[in-house]
Amino acid sequence: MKIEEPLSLRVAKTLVNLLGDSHSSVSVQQLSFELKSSPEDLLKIIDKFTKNGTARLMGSQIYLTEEGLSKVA
Amino acid sequence: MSVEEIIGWIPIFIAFITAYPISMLEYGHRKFRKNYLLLFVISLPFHLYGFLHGLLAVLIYWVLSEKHLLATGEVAFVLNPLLVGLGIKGITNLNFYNIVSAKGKEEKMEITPLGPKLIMDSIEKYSETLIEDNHDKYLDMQIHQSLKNPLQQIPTATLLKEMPKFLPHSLERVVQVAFMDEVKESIATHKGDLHFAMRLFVSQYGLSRYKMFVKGFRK
Repeated sequence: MKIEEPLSLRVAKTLVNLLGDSHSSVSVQQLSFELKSSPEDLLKIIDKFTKNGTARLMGSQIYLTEEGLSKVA
Repeated sequence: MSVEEIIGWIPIFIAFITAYPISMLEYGHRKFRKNYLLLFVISLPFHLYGFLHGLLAVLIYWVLSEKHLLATGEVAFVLNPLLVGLGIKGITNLNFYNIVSAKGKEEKMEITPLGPKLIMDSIEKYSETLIEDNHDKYLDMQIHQSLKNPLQQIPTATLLKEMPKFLPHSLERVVQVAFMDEVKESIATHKGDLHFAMRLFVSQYGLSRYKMFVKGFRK
C-alpha cells in the first residue's frame, strides 16, 4: 500500500494544511491545481463537507468552519 | 587476523552499518508512510535494498579513502565512514542534469534525470513491487484474522460508532468526518464486506492503532 488515499481525505487534509492556521480561504481552482484533480470532482466533495457543516463554499472560495477545524479530542 | 587488520576494517563496517538502516528508513517512510517499521520484520527485499545501499556506501568510502579525498585527523576513521553512511541517500539521489523531452500529442513533458538518481530510481521501482507485495500480504492477513475474530460478529453500526474513538486525538473534525464517510461508503460499495474499509483504517492510521480497535471487541 503506497501513499494512495481517497480524494475526499486528500481534500480534507489539504484544506487543513492550507487553512489550518488562518481564517482565509482557498479557491476551487487553486485546490484543483494543488491536488491535480478536476474542479467538478472537488465541488462534489466540498458539497458533502458543506452538508455536514465542516466547510463553507462562497462563490468559488472554500472556507473551513470552526467546527471543521476543531480537534477530535 | 591481527588487531591492526581488524581495526582497518572498522571504518568499512561503520559505513555499511550506518547506510543499511538509514536508507531503509528513508525509503520506507517516503513510500509506505504508516506501517513502514513493520517492513524490517516482514520483508526480505526491503533488507536487500538496505544491503545494497550498505555495499554502495562501502564502495564510495573505499574509493574516497584510496584517492585521499577524505579529511584526516584523530577521529577521521570513525567520522568519515559515518558521514558517507549517513549521506548515502543524498549521494544516490544526486542528479547532475535533466533531459527534458516533449512526449505525444499533448506535449507532456518527460524529465529524465542523469546521474546516480537514474540508476537508483529504476532499482527503487523494481524493489517497490516486491516490498509492496510483502507489505500488502501481511496487512491483508492481519485484517482477515481480525475480521474472522471478532469483527464480523459485531454489528456494523457498533463498529462505526466505536471507530472514531480510536482515531488520533489531534485529528481535525473535517478529516475525521471525511475518513468516516469513506469507511461507510466502502462498506456500502462492497455490500457489507468490511475488508476494504479496515484496509483504509490500517493504511491511514497504522496497524497498531487498528489492533487496539480490534482488541476492544475481543472478549
